[in-house]
Amino acid sequence: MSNAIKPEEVSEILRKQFAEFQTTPATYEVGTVLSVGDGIARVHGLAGVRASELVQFECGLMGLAMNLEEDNVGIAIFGEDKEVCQGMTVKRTEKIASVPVGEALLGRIVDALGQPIDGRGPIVTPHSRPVEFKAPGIMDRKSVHEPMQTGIKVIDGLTPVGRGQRELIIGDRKTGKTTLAIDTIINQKGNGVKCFYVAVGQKRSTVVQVYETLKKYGAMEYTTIIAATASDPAPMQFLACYAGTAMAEYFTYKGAPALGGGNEPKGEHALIIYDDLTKQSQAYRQLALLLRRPPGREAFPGDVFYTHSRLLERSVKLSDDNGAGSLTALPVIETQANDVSAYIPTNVISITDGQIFLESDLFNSGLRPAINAGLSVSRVGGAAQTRAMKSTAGTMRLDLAQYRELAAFSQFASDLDPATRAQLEKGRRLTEICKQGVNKPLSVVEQVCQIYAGTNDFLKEVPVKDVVRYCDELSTELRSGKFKDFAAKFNPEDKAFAEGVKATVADFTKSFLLTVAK
Amino acid sequence: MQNQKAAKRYAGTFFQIALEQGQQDTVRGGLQSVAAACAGSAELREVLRSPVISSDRRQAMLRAAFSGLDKLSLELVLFLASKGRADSLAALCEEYEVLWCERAGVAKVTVTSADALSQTELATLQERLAVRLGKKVELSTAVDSSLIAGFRARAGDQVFDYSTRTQLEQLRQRLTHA
Ligand SMILES: Nc1ncnc2c1ncn2[C@@H]1O[C@H](COP(=O)(O)OP(=O)(O)OP(=O)(O)O)[C@@H](O)[C@H]1O
Ligand SMILES: [Mg+2]
Repeated sequence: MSNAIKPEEVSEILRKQFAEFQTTPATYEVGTVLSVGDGIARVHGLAGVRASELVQFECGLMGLAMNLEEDNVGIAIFGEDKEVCQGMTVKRTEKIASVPVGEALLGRIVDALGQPIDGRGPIVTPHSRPVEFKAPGIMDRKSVHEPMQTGIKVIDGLTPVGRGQRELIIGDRKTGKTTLAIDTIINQKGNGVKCFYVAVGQKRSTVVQVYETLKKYGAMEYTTIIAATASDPAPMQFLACYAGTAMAEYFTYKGAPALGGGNEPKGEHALIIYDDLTKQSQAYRQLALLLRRPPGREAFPGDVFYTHSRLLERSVKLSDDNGAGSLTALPVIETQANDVSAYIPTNVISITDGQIFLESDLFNSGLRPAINAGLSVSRVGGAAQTRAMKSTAGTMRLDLAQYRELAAFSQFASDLDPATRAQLEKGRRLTEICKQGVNKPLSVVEQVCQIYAGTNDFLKEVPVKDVVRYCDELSTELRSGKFKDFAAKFNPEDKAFAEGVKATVADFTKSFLLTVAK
Repeated sequence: MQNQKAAKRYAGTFFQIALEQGQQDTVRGGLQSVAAACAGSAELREVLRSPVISSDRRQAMLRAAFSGLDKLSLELVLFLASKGRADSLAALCEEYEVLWCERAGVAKVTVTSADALSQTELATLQERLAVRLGKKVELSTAVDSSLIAGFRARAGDQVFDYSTRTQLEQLRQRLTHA
């Protein structure tokens, strides 16, 4: 902006644009709206239109060609169908639905078509990607091996997520699903992972809350929110997940020219959250029924499995030849009364590489995050864990499982032998360690130290009610107190990591016990 | 929709019959006048559609109304009515026209212009369009001053847009979105 603007130059540029323009006559293909209603227009004509091509109505609204039938085309309208009327002409754009992508989107809130809705001006980017993209084949991939740190103790310890993995977050309403996802985004600060939060069918107020939270923790710098709220038309809600994925893929494929990506030496890492796929499939069901596609189980169309599998198959860890970028997905599914055997939950469970199962009982009993450690799994598992975490948390799952069994059993027993009692006490403390507050993601060293303390009997003397405080204070010390230097030097891949951790935890426990005694 | 499908089938068969008898052009003329009558007369549409009128009566009325038609066209219309498909008559005429144009290699083009075009202009346009489409061209014209200047030619689903309105619109798009 240092150069002064010269009016002559501006006029010259504009004149050039006008001059270029005279020479381009438009030829296009049209159809006529036969009927319209419920966000669907049936159009006669458009003989050459392709499936999922964008079309434009005379009134300026866009639409997506969904059903190609013998004598008409079913078009989902992106907007108020009141503006479309019978007899209106519809133009082909000859473009498959695509969205703007690139660095310019970070920090913004956009709709399913990539248009900004945060009132902060247009998004200027030279790049765009089609919303639908064929997932790369086997040879273009590499097995998942780097951790995607969520910053949540239980997840990183018991059900670790790797970069390129798809881990489902499933649970009833208000069990902390969104919170887990948001904390994971917050935890990516400073490690270069680009985050995409797709809000489908949520209240606008919830989306604003998410935005405010992310902004507060400085996480919007590397995050895009794609919002298709409950008041948006069903096609938008359906499309938002695909649009968000396209935006994320831009970063993943940056180093993969062979797969239609950028020409840079390396791909980047991206994380995408679909919150939630239940709403997305409901929007798709609405569309499909209005398009008169035959309904199947729970009135979902036959290809609802495919809509999710083709979406989640796009999560990928690319091979070194393709720049080694990754796209990690955390889809969210809302269940009714913990029923994971309903249609959509079983579908998505079978597609993903594991699930984090949240339970309202646990949530209400104060165990938050309310993760059911027994039913949660990660099929990538240890391959995506740091050495330190793997060996520290190795026994935790077993300890917790034994504790649950014993706890249920010992309710009826009056006197227990010392070994059993010790195991119960340990389990109680481990359960406390699993607790973690909202928006408080922990670094690897904090997690390792806390879990180490729990699994290695450092908490024997600490009363159960003080365990949460113990964890908090240990974190503070590691962050900015006595053990700051240790934390800074900590290398989770070091074979001899345990010595340092042991010394630190022992040291801290000693001083902590003094405060308890008081 | 159901009508449309039936009309397509009947039109196909009628065209075949007309072709066999070498009368496809006569029948086209006949059906064009039937279509015009349908478009112009609300009473006729009512007669074709109404479930109250018995089949025999309807046939008699149609016979009287279309007495000026050539023999084959009239027979075809009456046959359609006897099958209880009288309400598809207008759609059938349209479909027949489509088949005829296809067979004869004719493209029907509607030219909408901002101002009425002169005969010579139309002749040139017809020639150019014929080259472009690779078919004989039948022109029909309309005037729409909202195009500002220039014209727009529509052949089936294909539109050739040389109107100033569209160009201004494109310019606006380019300036605001690029
Ligand atoms: N670890 C936690 N500790 C304390 N409170 C929590 C924790 N996790 C979630 N909460 C609280 O629980 C409430 C519901 O959380 P959240 O919105 O994440 O749940 P949800 O499952 O996404 O709900 P919805 O069904 O509305 O999508 C929030 O008020 C949140 O602050
Ligand atoms: Mg939520």
